[in-house]
Amino acid sequence: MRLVGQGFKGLVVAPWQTLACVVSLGVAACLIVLSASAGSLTMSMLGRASRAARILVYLKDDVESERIREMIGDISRRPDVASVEYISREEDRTQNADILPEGLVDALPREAIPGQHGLIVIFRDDAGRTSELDGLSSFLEAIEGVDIVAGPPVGSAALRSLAGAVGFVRVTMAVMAAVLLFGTLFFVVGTLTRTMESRREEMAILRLFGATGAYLKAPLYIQACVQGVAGLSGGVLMGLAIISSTNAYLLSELSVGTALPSWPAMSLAAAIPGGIAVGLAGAIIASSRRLP
Amino acid sequence: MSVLSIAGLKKTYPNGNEAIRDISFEVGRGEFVFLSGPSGSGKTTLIRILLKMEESTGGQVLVFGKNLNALLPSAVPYLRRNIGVIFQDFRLLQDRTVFENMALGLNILGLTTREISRRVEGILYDLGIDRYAGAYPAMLSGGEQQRVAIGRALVMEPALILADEPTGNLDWELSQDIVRLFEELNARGTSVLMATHDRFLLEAFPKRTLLINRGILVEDRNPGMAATRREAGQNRFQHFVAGRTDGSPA
Repeated sequence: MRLVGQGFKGLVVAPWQTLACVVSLGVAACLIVLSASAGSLTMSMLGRASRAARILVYLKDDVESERIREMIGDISRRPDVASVEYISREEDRTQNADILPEGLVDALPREAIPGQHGLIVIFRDDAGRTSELDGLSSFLEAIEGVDIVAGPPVGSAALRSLAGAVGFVRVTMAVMAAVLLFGTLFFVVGTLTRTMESRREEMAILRLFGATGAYLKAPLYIQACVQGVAGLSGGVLMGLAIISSTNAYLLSELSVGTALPSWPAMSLAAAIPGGIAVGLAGAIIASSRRLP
Repeated sequence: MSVLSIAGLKKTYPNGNEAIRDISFEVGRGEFVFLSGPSGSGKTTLIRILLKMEESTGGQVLVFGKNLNALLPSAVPYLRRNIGVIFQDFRLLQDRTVFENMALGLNILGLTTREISRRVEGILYDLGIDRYAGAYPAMLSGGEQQRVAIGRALVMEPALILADEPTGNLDWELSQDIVRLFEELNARGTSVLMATHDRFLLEAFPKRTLLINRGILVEDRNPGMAATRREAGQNRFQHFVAGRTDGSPA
């Protein structure tokens, strides 16, 4: 308990430096949380963009299976098409039922829900090629037996561009967080060095009276871990608060449709071992250089 | 068994300075020995070597039968717990009370708060400074501060006390008080090796005296026995006491 008390006392030896250290760690942790969240959002948006790049080609009712196989072969040969899948009437009806309000689906007879057989054409994945996408639509509309070509996914390219921008921000934030964490190590080392300088005389006396290295270092390690855990936990909470307030803006103003994900329990749980690890690293560096 | 056994001790610094050239002696259990010599003769270096604060560059040093040259670094703290150290400049922490200064070493032993209080209060009383338990060192006189420093060593209940010029900053009366205190401790069985260059103290308290000059043990004089001459025909001790020391009654 005395060692723990010494560790906490060490925090106020250089209070401004300790504060700077905790704030830096907090900003780094905040950036990590935001970066992870933005990364997850990017993946989600890319997934949506990928799904949006599908073109649904509805076929006339009288198109025979043989003709459908020929159509699949013709379409698949195009270089901008990744794959073609057949969708039956019943499968289309099921998909349509999924997007209708639940109460309405229950109220309607099954046959009242529209269902038409067709082809799902999956466009080769490459953002920004909207002109090729338009060309594919024209090609599909010209095929004999095609009833309707569901409009090309006009939002896909924009969505993918936005996802790219978010991804860039994510990488930038991750790099900044890494640099900040590394830089913060020097703050941790600096505050611990100040603590050791202030305790130099005491430590020298304690050594003469038989204090072991572990006894002398323990308060420093405790101080470092407290700084690390406080900084990272605070940063995670700050990140979660930013995500929470940003989500309202994303959903209402930008109509992005997907909220920034957050994992409060996991982030906070990770902040504790992370803070301890950063603290220990700083303490090891500081104590290996400065112990009398 | 000897508490200290030193044979052919040498200490040469990297710059070539030979602080100790040849010292051999033994200190038995319960013995009181003065270590004397002029400034720069090697007294402090010897004490630092005995505490394993410095490494010797030759010879053998046994402390409580343990060879310091072969002692693992991890074992050094446990050796030091049996040695009480007292310095000329007291080395008290100015931001701690007398009680806290004395309890400093006891925390290392992992004693309970009650046991620490018991030991510190007992020593404070024995040293006659119990009324200063809550005072800070700056509020005390030099003699009182040295008593606190001695108390800090005594609470550890050491088997050996190494005192490096403990009376160097004290007046004559206080110096005698401190030596009498060491005598009392010695009477209880604690071995004492006290470095001093105060010839009046050496005369006032006739005890075995090791005279070091320029890193060499030049005389091992024991008033209770015939003098042991390290070098035949020499009486460097008298020469040294008469000509080189500056200790004088206040």
